[in-house]
Amino acid sequence: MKGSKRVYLILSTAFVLIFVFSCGLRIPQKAPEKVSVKYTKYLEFPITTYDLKVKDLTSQFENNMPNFLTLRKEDPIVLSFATQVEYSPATLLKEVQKQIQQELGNLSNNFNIRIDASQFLSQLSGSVTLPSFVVTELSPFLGSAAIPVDNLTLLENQGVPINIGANSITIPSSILDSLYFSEANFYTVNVYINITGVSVSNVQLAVDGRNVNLNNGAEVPVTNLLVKKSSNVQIKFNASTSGYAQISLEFRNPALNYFKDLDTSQLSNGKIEININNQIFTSSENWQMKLSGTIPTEIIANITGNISQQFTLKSGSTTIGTGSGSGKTATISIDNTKFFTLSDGITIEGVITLTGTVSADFRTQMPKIRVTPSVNVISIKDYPLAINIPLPENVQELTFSQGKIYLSFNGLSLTNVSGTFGGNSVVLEDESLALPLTNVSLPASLNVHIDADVSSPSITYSSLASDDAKISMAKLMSATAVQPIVVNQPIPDFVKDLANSATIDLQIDLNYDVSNITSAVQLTIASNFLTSGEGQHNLNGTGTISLKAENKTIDFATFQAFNMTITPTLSVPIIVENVLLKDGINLSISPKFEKFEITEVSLKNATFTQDFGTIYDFGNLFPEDFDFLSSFDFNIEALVGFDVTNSTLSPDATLTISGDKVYLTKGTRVDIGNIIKRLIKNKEQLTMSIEMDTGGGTLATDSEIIFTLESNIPLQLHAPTDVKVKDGTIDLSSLENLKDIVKVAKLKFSVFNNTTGLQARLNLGKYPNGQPIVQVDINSGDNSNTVVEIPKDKLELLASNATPWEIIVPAGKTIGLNYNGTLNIAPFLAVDLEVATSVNLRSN
Amino acid sequence: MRIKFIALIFIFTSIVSYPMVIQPFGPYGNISLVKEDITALFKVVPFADIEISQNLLNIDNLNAFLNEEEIVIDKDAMSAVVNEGLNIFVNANMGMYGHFNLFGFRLIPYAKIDGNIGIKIPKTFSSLLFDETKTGQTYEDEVQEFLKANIVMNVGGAVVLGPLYIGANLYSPVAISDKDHTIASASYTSSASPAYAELNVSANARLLSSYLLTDINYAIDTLINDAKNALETGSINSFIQNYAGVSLDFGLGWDNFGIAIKNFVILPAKATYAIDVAADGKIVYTGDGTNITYDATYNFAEPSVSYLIEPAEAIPPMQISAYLKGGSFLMWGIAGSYWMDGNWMAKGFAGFNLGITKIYYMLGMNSAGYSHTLGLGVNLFFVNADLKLTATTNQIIPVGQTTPGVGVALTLSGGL
Repeated sequence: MKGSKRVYLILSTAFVLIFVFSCGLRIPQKAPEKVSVKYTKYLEFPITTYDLKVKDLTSQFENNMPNFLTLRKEDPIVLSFATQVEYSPATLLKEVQKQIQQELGNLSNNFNIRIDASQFLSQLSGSVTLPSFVVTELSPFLGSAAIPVDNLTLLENQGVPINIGANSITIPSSILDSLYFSEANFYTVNVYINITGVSVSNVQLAVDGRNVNLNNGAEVPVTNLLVKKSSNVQIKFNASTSGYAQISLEFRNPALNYFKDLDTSQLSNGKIEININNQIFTSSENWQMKLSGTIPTEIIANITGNISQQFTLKSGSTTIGTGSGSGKTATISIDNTKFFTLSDGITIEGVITLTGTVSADFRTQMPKIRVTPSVNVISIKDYPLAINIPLPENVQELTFSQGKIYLSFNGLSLTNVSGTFGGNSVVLEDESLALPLTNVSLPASLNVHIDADVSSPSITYSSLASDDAKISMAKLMSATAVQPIVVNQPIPDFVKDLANSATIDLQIDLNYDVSNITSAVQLTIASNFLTSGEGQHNLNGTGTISLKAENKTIDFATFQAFNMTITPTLSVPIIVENVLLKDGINLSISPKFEKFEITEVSLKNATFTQDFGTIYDFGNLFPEDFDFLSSFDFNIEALVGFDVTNSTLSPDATLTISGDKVYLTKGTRVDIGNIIKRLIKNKEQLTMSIEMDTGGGTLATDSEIIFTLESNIPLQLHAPTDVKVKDGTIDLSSLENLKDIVKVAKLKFSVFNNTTGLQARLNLGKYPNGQPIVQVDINSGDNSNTVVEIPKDKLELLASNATPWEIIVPAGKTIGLNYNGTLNIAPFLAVDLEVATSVNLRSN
Repeated sequence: MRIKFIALIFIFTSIVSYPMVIQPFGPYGNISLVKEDITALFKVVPFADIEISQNLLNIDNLNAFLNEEEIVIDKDAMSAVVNEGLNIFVNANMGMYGHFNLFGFRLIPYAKIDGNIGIKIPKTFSSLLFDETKTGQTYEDEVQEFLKANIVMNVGGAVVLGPLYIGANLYSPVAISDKDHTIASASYTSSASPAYAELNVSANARLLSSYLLTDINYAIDTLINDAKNALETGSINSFIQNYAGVSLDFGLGWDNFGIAIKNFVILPAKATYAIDVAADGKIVYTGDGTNITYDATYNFAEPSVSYLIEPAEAIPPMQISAYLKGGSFLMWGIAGSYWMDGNWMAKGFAGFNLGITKIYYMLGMNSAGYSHTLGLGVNLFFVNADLKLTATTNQIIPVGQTTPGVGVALTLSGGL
């Protein structure tokens, strides 16, 4: 017996052990007195994105650039400039040539009176513009952007026990289940509630947490109330008496701008109708037209279900088309037998009918109907054509004695015309509109109405005069024609300094036309350089006056300026009688430069100096944000050149560029890159003067003395020392809060792509010895593997309200600024959070 | 002598046949089992049990807590809650039954409250709190019935005749979660390019009850008044209809085998009040160059109690349970229960019957996990007691990362 007890005891102990083991617990010796918790977590959080395009920045450069400086949009960007100084016979007297040309142009403008058939008839040509019908989106086609539907009764004299105080009644889900939609947004609705039997106040309707104040026994307008079959709809109120109340709740005059699975068969008329009444064409014109073709329509709206459409196209009370369709599209056919007046406009009337189970959502996209007219005008009636024919320029009076003008049309065939031209009635003659000219004086008006069948959408008309059309009398008058023209061009100083004399060879032809003018017309010409053509010229019919200076030597020691005067003489007004229109009347001069050459220039035997002053201020080269670029070493190619072509001359020249003298001989090019580099570094001005000793001699027609300066500054730069691009301070004091819970923070990059050509380094924070706390290298290409580890100790040092930062280009790096380069950065923070805390459980 | 003999026989039988490992009113219950509570004439049996299961705290951290070591909260320690979302489930029953034995005809009146409350928080939260959160990662989940409550008062009686029993039960819903209106959803998404993070949270919960829970005094007063009125006017039916439903239990039970069908509802209970709670919030972060925005909005609707014009019906799922057991000194058994809503549980036990004490180990399982129970029964004829200590786990062998729960069940009985 004792033995079996022992067995039981062992078994029992085993049970207890199994139990304790099964719980997995280690039972403590005493109750715990403190709890220590360590929480660790890895968190990544986005910071921001930067998308920097170099080409967006270069506008700063371009805005500052003078004309001769260009920014070449290459990788790397190259700034280049080129300027040239040229001494040659062709260029020495170009100002003289320019002024003579300009003044003779004035003579031609002043002396220009013309009457001919083409000039006259061009006034009577043009086009008839018919109305066009463009694609239109009719919007909105609903009166209030919502569809009116039947009233909804949610409760009708529902008996409910009421307690004193706050009461809330839930609308049974069976009632919501019986709604004719699964979801609907009441764009507008009047909510009517009536609670009788108890005294209530502060009545509210709560729909899925949205509370709407109601007025017991009255309707309250509510907007944008979303109700679903699954909604939680409650009536809330305070009762000052208890008892059994009767509650009625109705949604009156509801209009929906969203519904899902609406069963139209449950509506009183079994369907939803959306009426359309929109004008698709308006005009202020009073003539009539007939159309042919079709107008396809399409409903642009978030509607699904059974849709049918019916349309009528109207102008005033006239029906000019009908159409129908199912689904979202329909086609309206135009009745091509009906004339309508444009000012009555065109209205599209119709109804869209939704039946069956339908859904629609107009909350974000208002419904529209797209109308795509494919119509043509086939007839016009009473189309007005009104044209004023003014007097030609410089003509005081003009009267016709006989003949007709015929207007013929392309794109339509006339069926009837009525109206007048200059008091004469117009007639329809051989499908043309004939305008009798007898006794018509200009200015005259054409006022006609035409009926026509239209065969093309583009209609033009042009006119022809009959051969016998005759001007009985014209009175010509030009106030400017008698004005003399004067050329006075002094010889430039540098020309006098450079040359003793020049030989010119010049011929200008003045072609004149004074047809059908019988009174005397004269030109008197005087100059100090012409060898022939001076004196008085009588003009008759058509002809030419040649002005010449053949091998004329101009001695710059005595010859101060080129002078020429041309003085017209004529008696005004000029009367012309009985001229056929086809012959016309003319009074005109047109100059023609046949020749203007300097065949030889005799140069002085003396030192010639020309100072061009400041050409460019390199202080303006780099705008503020790019100022750091001037700290780099540039690899500049800048060449000045000097050459003399087509001449045996071989002068020596000295260019003085911003104080540095550059000695040049014929055909040499000298590199002045160092000078330009100095100007950029020191932000100095580029000045230039030329000193040349030709030693006398002559320049032939095609000889040239040329100085050139060309420079390319590629923005590919070498940093001799650390170059600071930008610096500042940033408020990182919020890191103070993080440093206690962050074990290590890492800055990682989902995108870090650098094709700008810049290779930079971001330094953040500073140790007392001046070393940066955090460094991020921005290398070329994909840097997305960059991980910047900021352990807790660094985080503490960075937590300041003015942590310094700087972007530098480290010494020794060569950078280029690529026009097509971009810097895309999407940094995110990756932190290992660690919070360790312990709480003492002892009450003391 | 004869009395002494009868008494001895009685005591012997009761000692042998009163393991009561399977309780008449427990989750595997079969009222026929009252035959084993050695009632000669009458007995009053109060019982209570509570079981808590959770997946937040694991064995390692529980041990760390008990032994003043460091509780580590990281993605590994929290793997259960990261994978499943935070789950806490409390099941509690308490009540009392009487047992009148009239020569084998047994009358069993009883009253009890059955309750369970489960909370299941969307995984998005536990993932954000404990898991590694990387950019570009999106969490999104929705938990239907994230708050699951089912607290029901029961009053009833059963008649046991031989192996057969029939019970009639009045049940009244105190708090039942409304599945259609109880939902929680959460989503979190972030991206580094474009720099963007968004957290959305929304939760709606609705509890249904036959009582105005926000004003318990009023609720009790009304219940008492309505009961008085019903008794005075004889309108018992309408009183029952307002507060309770009627269900029937049937069963057959022998010493070694029993089967029962419970919750055969003939009149569903009605809940006339709804309590609604709703909350939502949204946080949006965006960054584009130096333009960084942070926008947070949230709404919290005060809990509101509402009268249901059309009361909600509360119908507990029909339950079928069965047991098979045997042995005397070395006792064993298996039992199982299946609810028509798909819920199930089963257990097996073995132990020793040492006369006045019994000690047994029980392994249980259900859809959520496992339970290890140590049971101790004391039988002093007039006074009996059964105490069960349970540890629940999500793995059959509880080691470091398993998340334990606890349970205590005590059944006392006194009588003749």
